[in-house]
This record gives sequence, C-alpha cells and structure tokens, in this order.
Amino acid sequence: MSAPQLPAGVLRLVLATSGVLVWLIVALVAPWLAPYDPFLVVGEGLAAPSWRHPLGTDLIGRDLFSGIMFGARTSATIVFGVALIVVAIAITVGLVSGYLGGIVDDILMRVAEVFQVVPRFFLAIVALAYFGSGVDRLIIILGLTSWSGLARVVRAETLSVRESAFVEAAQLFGSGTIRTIFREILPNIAPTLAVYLTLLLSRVMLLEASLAFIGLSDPNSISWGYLAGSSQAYLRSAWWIAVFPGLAILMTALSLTSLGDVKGRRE
Amino acid sequence: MLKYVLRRLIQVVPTVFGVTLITFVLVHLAPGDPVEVLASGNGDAAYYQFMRAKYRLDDSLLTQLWTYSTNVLRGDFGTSYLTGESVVRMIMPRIGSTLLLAISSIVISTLVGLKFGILAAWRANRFLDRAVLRTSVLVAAAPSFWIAQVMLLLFALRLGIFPTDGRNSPGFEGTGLAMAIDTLWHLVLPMSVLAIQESSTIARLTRTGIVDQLDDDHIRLARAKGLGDLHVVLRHALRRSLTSVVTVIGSRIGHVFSGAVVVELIFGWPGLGQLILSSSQSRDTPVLLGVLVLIAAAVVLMNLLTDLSYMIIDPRVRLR
Amino acid sequence: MRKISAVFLGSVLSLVALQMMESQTTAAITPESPCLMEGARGDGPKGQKVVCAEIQGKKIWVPRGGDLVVAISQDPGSLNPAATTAGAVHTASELMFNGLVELDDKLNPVPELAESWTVNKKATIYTFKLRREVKWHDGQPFTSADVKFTFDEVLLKYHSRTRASMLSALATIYTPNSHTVEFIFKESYGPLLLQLDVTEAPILPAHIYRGSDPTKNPTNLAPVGTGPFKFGSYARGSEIVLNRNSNYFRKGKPYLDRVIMRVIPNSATQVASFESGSVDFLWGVPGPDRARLLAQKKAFDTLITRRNPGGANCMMTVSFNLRRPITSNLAVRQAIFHSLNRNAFLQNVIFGEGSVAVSPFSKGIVWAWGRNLKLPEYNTTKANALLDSAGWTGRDGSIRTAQQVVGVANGSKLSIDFLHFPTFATYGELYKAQLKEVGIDVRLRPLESGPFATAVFNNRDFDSNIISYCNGNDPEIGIRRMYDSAQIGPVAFSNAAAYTNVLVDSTFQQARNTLDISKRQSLYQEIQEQLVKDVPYGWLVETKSTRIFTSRCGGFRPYSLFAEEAYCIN
Repeated sequence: MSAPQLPAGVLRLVLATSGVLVWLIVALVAPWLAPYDPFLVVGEGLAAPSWRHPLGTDLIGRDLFSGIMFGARTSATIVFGVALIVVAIAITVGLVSGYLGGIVDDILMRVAEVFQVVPRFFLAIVALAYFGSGVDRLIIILGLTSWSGLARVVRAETLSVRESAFVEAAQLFGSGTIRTIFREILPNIAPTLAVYLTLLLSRVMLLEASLAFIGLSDPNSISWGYLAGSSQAYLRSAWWIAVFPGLAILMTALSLTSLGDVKGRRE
Repeated sequence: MLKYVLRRLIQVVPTVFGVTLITFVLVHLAPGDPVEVLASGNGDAAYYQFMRAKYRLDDSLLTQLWTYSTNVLRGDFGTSYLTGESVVRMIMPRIGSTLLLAISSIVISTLVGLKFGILAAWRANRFLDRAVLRTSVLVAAAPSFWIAQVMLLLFALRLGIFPTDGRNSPGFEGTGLAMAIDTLWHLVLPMSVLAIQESSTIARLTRTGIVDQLDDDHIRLARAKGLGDLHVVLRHALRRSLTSVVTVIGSRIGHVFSGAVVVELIFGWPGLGQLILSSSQSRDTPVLLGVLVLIAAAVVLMNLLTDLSYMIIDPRVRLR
Repeated sequence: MRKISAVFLGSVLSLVALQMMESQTTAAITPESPCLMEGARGDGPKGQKVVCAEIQGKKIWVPRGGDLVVAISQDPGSLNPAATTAGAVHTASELMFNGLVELDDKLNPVPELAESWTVNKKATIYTFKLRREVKWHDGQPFTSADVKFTFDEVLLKYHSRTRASMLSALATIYTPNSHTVEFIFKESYGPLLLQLDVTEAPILPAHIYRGSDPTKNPTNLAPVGTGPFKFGSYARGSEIVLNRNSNYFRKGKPYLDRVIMRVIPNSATQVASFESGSVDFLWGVPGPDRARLLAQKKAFDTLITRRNPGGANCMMTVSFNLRRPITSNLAVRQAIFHSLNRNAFLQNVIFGEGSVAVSPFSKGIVWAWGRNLKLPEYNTTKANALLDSAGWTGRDGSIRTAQQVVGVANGSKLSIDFLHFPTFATYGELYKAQLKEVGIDVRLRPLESGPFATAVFNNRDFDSNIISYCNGNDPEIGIRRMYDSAQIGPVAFSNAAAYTNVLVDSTFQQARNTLDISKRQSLYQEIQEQLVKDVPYGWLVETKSTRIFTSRCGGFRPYSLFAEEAYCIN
C-alpha cells in the first residue's frame, strides 16, 4: 500500500518549479531589470532596507537588491557550466566503459573512484588558491570532480541496453552500434540524469558559497556566496547583507533539491 | 571474507595514489615559482640557486612525483617550505582534532538520523513525517556558515551554555578526565553544526528507504500475521534499508570533512581546515600535499569500513 | 619645648600611619587605588598580592598575577620577529624579546637593552652601553655579540624596513667588549635611535642561531629571548602561552602570570568571545561592532594608536606600475586620484578609524609631513577631462577605449588590474566602484602576501595594487624605500611603483646626512612637493587601530611590549 499522492506533492512540485524558473528568469534579465549597477556605489554604506533600496546596501553602499539579481546570473552560469562538463564527461566515460567492458571498464571505473574520493572542496581550495579565483576556474574544477556518480549510472544503463534485443535488431539492420546505444540509453537515463543533476547542482551552489566565505570567490562577479560570506561579520549590526543572500541560496537550493526529489518519487 | 578485506585494503593504495597524482600535477602546473616561497623574502640569487638544488625543484615533474611518492611510503612527507618544520609534525596534532570532530559528527548524526528516520517512516505521511522531511530539506539547503554563526550567537553568546571558540579553555592545563571534559564541552557546538546537516539527510534517506520496503511482500506477510507496525518496521524493513543508509553514510564522509573546514574556521577549532587554507594561500606545497593525502586516505578507509559493515548487516550482500 | 614634642609626635604618628598604610598586615587594598611608595607590597581584597607601581604617570596599586587572554587572527607559523615584518608573527612574539632602545609615546628614546648611548657630532658613530644583568631565557648572558649577530645575519637580510634603510649606510658594527656596541656608518645617519625598538630590531640569541638559517631554525617554534615573558607552549592553530619571566631585567615587572594568545580566525567569533568574557583583549574590531561595544562603556576600555606590531604610522597606499603603458601616463594617474573619494574609504572601509592622507608622508611623523600640499581632490569632472585628454574616449557610463594612446592598440578597453591582500578586499571593491564611474574597468586580483610580493616586486606583474606601507617613525625607515630608485628590485615592500627621480634620490640622501631637524624638514617638504606633482602612488588613508579590552585589565601600552606593565583584576 503505497503512500497516496496528496495534493501536498503537487503543491511542492509547483513551488519547486516556479522557484527554479524565477531564478533562471532573473538570471537572464538581470542586466535590464536591476535598478542599479551592482558594482557602483549608490547609497550610504550599510543602509537598512528602504524604498530606494528594498534590501538595503552593502558595506560600501552598493545596492543589495541589484547584487542579488546579478548573483542569480553568476550562480546560473556556474551551475550550467558545471552541468555541461559533468554531463559531457559522464556520458563519454559511462558509454565507453559500459560498451567496451573488460580492462578499459576496470581502469575507467577505478579512475572514477579516485575522482569520487577526492575531497572536492579541498581540491577547489587548492585550485583557486594556486590558479587565482575566477568563475571559469571554479566551473572547471567543480566539473572535473563531480562526474563519477553520473558516469556510473550511465555505465549501468549502457550495460543493460547493450545486451538487449533492440541492439541486436539494430545490428541486423546495419546501423552503428554506438549510435544505437546512445539513442537507446538517453531516454532511459534522462530522468535519473535530471534528478542527479538537480541534486548535484544545489550542492555546487552551497560549495561556491562556502568557498566565497573563505575568500576564494571571484571578486569580479557578484555571487550570492560572495555576498553572504563576506558580510557574515556584520550579522549583528547589518543583518540584511548576511541574511538576504543566504536566503537566496537557500531558496534556490531548496527548489532544485525539491524538484529532484519530487521527480525521483515519480518513478 | 578475509581475502575480500585484504583485497580492498590493497586497493586503498592506488586510490590514494590517484589523489596524490591529481593534486601534485595541479599544484605543479600552477603559475609561480616555489623557490620564492622557500626564500621567504631573501631575494638573493645565490640563495635561490641553493634552495633549488636542495629541494630538487629542477627535476622533471615525473621525477619529483616519484621521489615524493616513495618518500611518503616511507612516512616522510617532507618539510614545510615556509618554516622548515617536518610536515608530519605539523599535521599530527591537527589531524586528531579534525578526526574527533568528523567522527563524532558522523556517529551522532547517524544515531539521530536513524531515530528520526524510523519515526518518520512509522508515522508515514502524518504530521511527524512531513515535519521531518520539510526540516531536513530546509537544513540541507542552508549554507553551513549560516547555521554555524546562528548557533554560535544563540548558544554560546546569548545563552552562554557553551564556549565560543577553541578546543580547550584558554591556558587550560588539566589532564586526563578534566581535559576530556573540557574538550567535549568545546566540541558540542562545532559538532552540532555538522551533525544537524548530516542527520537531516540521513533521516530523510532512512525514511525513504523504509517506506519503500514497507511495500514489500515480506512486510505484507508480516503484517498479515498480525505483527504490530513498529515491530514490522524495526525487524524487517530496517534491516533491509540499512544497506542504503550505510551507503549514504559512506558518501557523506567526504562531505563531513569538507564541512569541517568552515566549521573549524568559525569556531577556531584547531584542525586541518585552517592548515589547508593557510598552506594553499601561502603556496606551502609539501604541507598541502601532506594534508590532502592523509584526508584522502582517511576517507577511503572509512568507506572501506562502511562497506565491510554492509556485509555484517545484510547477509545477502557478499562480494561483488 | 612643647613645640618640639608636638613636631616629634606628629612625625612619629605620620610615620606610623604611613607604615600602616603600606604594611602587609593592614586591611585589603583596592586594586587601582592610588598609592605612595613605588615597590611597596600589600594584599588585595581576594587575597591576591598587590604592588605599588607607576603606570603611565600615576602610582596605583596593581594586582600581581593572573592571566590575560588575547585574540589573534592567524596562526603565526613562526615566532621569530627579526626575520620578518609580518604582523601575525610580531603580535605573537614581541613580548618575548627586547630592542636596544624603546620609544615612549612622544617617540623619545628610552633605554631598554642599552642603558646609555652616545652619538658623535657627525652622527656617524653610535656607541651603546648594554645592560650587564640581562640574561636570555635559557640562562645565558646577553652580550654585544648577540646584537652584532642579529643585525648582520638576520635583520639586515630579512627585515624589510631595517634592510631598506640601514644596509647601504652601515659600514660595520664593532663590539669592543661584551657590553659595548658601536654602529659605524659611512656617512651621517640621523634616524638610528628611532628604529631600535622591539618592532624594528628585536635581538636574537647568537648562541642559538649562529650557523643556521634563521627562517628555518626550529627554535622559531620555541623561542628564547630576553623579554618580559618566556615561551610556555605553542599549540598549533590553537594558542600560544607565554609565562612570566621572573628574571626580567626590569625588576618587578611583568605583573601578569601568563599571556595567552588565542588563535581565532573569524572576526565575528573574536567579538563574541570577547563579549562572553573568554577573551580579554582584542587588537582591533570591525567598525559596526566597535560602536556597539563602546556603548557598553563601563565594561570595556580602549586605546587608539598608530603603532602596530607590523609597523608604525601605516598608510594605505595605491601603487601605480610606472613601467606599464596605461599607468605610466601622468594624466591617467592624476585622473585615477581625482576619481577616488578618499573620504568614502575612511568612512566605509575603516569606519573612521584613521584619517584621509593629506601628504605622502604620514602625519604621525609630526615634523616631516608635507604642509599645504594639494593632493588631487575628489572631482570626477576633472578626472573625466584628464582621461579624455589622454586619449581615452568613452560615452557615459561605459568603459573607455583607447584612441591614439602610446603603447596601446586603438579600441582596446581601459582595463587595469588591482592586486591586494585578501584582507583588503573592501578597498578593492570601493576602488573598482569609484573607477567605474569614470569609465575605468578594474580587475581585482586577491593574493596572499607571499604570492603578492612575488607578483609585485619580482615580476612587476600588475597595473595597480594596494599596500599598507608602514612609514615608521622617521622618513628614512619606511618611506624612502618607496621612492628611492636604488630600491627597485625583488625585495618585498620596496619601491613598488619603480619611481625614478634622481633629484628626489639625492634629496633623500641629503636629508639622511644631517641631524638638523629644520634642515631635514625643508628637504622632505621639497620631496613631497615633487611627489605630489608626479603621483607615483595614490595616498589613500592613514590607519589607526583601536585596541579594546575589558575594564578588569589595564596598564596596556598600545605598541611593542604592550603587556609589560599590564595587570588584570580577578
């Protein structure tokens, strides 16, 4: 007797989806919609929320509302950049590993294990400290260290599809095996992929926030982690510059996770 | 069984070596000359030359990697570029602190997470279940430095129950039991921050695992036999779902170590977190490599332990 | 007859009264209440020992014993203050060492390891007579060999300010016997007495360091010095415990039993620990918290100072790389200066803890700072006009592009980078914001001190940067190195801009070669007038620090051996 799908599940799905949509839309239109340039000094430093500055100003007088809008852009860039790299590597490795099997499979899976064990956060700290902090470097280092789990999923799917009748049939007809597998696998792994990605991506955002807290974020682009982390010393005197960016992170991470969860449960 | 354990133990080596390789290459590809760190402000060209030769910095990348790896296998992690101190001597006192923090967080979060997960599954879809789920998702999505700072301000400052920083009280000179109590008192807040996030995830996954099992034929049979709900849950569903819980714990170990960095910084906990940060920023490569290798080894070993406990818990699962 | 007996009786009675006041068997003495005889001892209300001491001009009863807990932001890594000017190392270790000559708050030299000195007329020979009773913490006697060794092998090689100022002028250090040291200079050298305190020239034990690399010697982690406090323990990343040196040459001092330096990297946590009472002394506090803490006036006291363990009279200075095409243009530098609202830096970055720079030299060097100088004022119209004239065109609000600029391709953007320590991130943000208003794009590059020094001084890989140049107490100490063309090289914190002006070089030399203060003053005035014309640097703000400590404790000096006379009432 499975738990009935209450209206609460639908409500959750709607909220999560709208959360993610809002985030993406703000990320796209920020340069046109934001009231001020988030890098310019437009008011008194540490000014409380007011009509002119609905979320207050930061330490040097930059508008926080505009900062948060542009922060959405930065986090979206990072998250999609990482997604791209992760998907590319995971699919390639998983496909090759599952299809070829044998020694290649062993080696690739061992490599995947290494990358899984590598503490991502520490490696990011090292990379950013040695190569300089920047959004591009962050995307690369996070992308390069987050693909193992997904690769395993792709490999498992490849393995099961490889044996199936469809492939044999396709071979009879002469179409390329790899292409067949690819086309066969994709729809099967798509839902798992989506779930996995949304969970992964919310973790990436929190990671970026922690890196920013330590002072390793890109100072040339506004990001939520940077706003939340650099201002946490003023939590007691100017709570808005610490709380609002943190809330933005919370809500977006929540939406992404819920989306992944709800979709997962649908299986 | 013993062969399996041995095999897994041996596999630890190449994995850790893989991590070493990645970090080593990363660090050596980076722009900047390590000699400048070694020279610490003494701009003499002759001194640079001397340092270069002493630390074999002109060898090829592969040679340096080989030298380093063979040294590590003998237990020699080299000396700090900045202070010349033995890396092992620098890391030893700190690794204990971080392990204490990490392991206690994992233990507590497992206990708490299991308890709430079971409760939530038992009362599936009622208020408690929903409350647990909602709280856990919320907590997992919050930045850890937020949670840390709120707890610091609330429990340490406002309520004054726990200390604000450090592993022991300032200038503490007690030993034995007194020392243990003082350390424990200081451990509570930093550990709680880590445990809160981990236990919520464990609770959620336990709950899901159990609820899935509750559909199982065996369970329906047990229910038909007239066994009480809780009884059913505990004896049958839990045993099966423990495997997924153990998997989860295994995957969280890496996260706990990462989370420890931020917590250590906020609470001034003298662990490896600060060391990683300071050695990265000052480009003190030997120290950095030493810390990363040891952490990778710790994570891999703990993974092994959780995998082994798989086999104890669920007799169905043996070798691959 | 009666008068004599009256007088006799009166004096006996007063003597008895005095005895009673000072004797140990009287009622408990309230700490910090006034006393009469320095050195007298008594008992406090809780049974602790008190002694009558002169603290900052007043004689008060001071409790002996107790611990002082001080928060520091960084694990120093090393406890050798002679091999570096890093603030973290000095903060943690200065209490264990001494210099030859201390400076009081009016900057007058006061004997420390040297009990007296003479200077010859031309100021080429300084002769110091050292105290004879001083012992190192390990019991060995302190001698002139230690002084010579420290200068020759450590300070002149690794301490950036001492090296920059003295190395070229010093001929040799001569030690005729074990308690006399002679500094012999090639030409007149005025400022020596101002750079011999424990911050500028701490003395190390030769018998321990001789023959080793001073930056890698293991004693750096368990130092041996002559100072008021001895090394107790160093729990890495956690705390450094210093114990009272009962054989300190200033008899009776220090009053505290222990000073515990606690490593708390996060500033918000430092404040929380301070408020909860587990920390007694903070070196500095972020602006908004400062206002909040001071509102609780009865509980906390403060000391404001320009002198820090890292150096005195520090000025946040933007350096322009004079060897790069964009910043080598005078109009561009002037434009950047005009677009800086330096008052905003004062208010928003350091919360008023300091002052806007009015001259290239710090106002803390009271006789030498340039009077009536016209530093480029905050005026974006002028800035825009200057940039236009330099060939950088741009429409409103967008980044300017080059048209006929020497060394720059047409159409390329006016984009410069800005290097800074991570702790100075806010300066970078404000700089970036203000320069964007006039169409200059700034790329921020945060770097920790090691890589920063390499990028700036070894590789000259920067357009602009910001450095907290500590000017010291005489222009020779911390200022000359910024402008002297001989100081352009791979030495950290030397002439970052690569400024070369032969006239300025020789004027500095002249100013060093005379002891006549008014002559030196007019020479330095000339120099500063030239500097303001050339704008090799952007002089932003002079910083002060506010030390905050619990009212339970007192007797702090805001610099150097800050806790030598400190006490805490328990």
